[in-house]
Amino acid sequence: MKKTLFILSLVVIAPLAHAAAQATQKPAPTVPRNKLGATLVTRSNAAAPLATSNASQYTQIDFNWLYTPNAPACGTSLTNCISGFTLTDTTLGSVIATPSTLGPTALSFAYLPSGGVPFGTSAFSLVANGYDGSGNALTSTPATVSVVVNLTTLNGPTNLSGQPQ
Amino acid sequence: MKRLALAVLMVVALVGGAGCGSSPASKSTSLSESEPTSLLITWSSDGNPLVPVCNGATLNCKKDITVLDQSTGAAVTVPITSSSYTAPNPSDSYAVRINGFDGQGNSISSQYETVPIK
Repeated sequence: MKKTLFILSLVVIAPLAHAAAQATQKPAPTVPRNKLGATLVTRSNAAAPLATSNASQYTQIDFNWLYTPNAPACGTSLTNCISGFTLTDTTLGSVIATPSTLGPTALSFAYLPSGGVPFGTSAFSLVANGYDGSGNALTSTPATVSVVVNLTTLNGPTNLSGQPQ
Repeated sequence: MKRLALAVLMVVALVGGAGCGSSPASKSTSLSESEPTSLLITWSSDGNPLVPVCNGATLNCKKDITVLDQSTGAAVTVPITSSSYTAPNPSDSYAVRINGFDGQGNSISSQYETVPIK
């Protein structure tokens, strides 16, 4: 029986992000200005049905990025510092991780979508979060990446048999 | 004595009647088994448990199932959720395939799987 094959392509749409907010106080936190990457991880039980039927054989997306901060990590004082990153699924409009999970030194994140990675295009954005000298929240412009999982072939039916009646 | 004789006659008549009745029935059963009138084709899965059902969509989904009578070339489409089909010609050979759409909206199908007869 022919195996189901999928085409995977990873597209880095906007590898650079620029300074987002012009803070009235200096210095402003930097932004994730380097490439955001994403890698799909195949499920080990691809033949097993899922709770959600629109998922592909991928269970996980591994994100990674580079980042050169221009301000220190936040401590007790939330001024002139970087608090971390926010990762968002812009296709679904849902926040995946916030600075409470992605601290200022984070450079990767393993995302396990509920039910698996869906077929089609899923777009994601990553922004750096921080505070200006007055304690106002700052957010960088986003670095973005898209993950595409396309169906290319179908398997035939299983346990096929005919019984004369 | 008359009553006894009458009772014996009734028993004989009952036994004889049952015998007459059972004979045609057994002939009918034998005829049915030797000459099937249809072929029940079954499958346990469409083989693509991770692919969503189209339900009107035309991307990355499975749409329906084709049952092909390879002897006549006639094809029947059944819902993707079906797990069986009763074919009318039990002596013909049949094959089954799964149909759907790829990521670009093109129609795709699995290879035809020939139906093995039990």
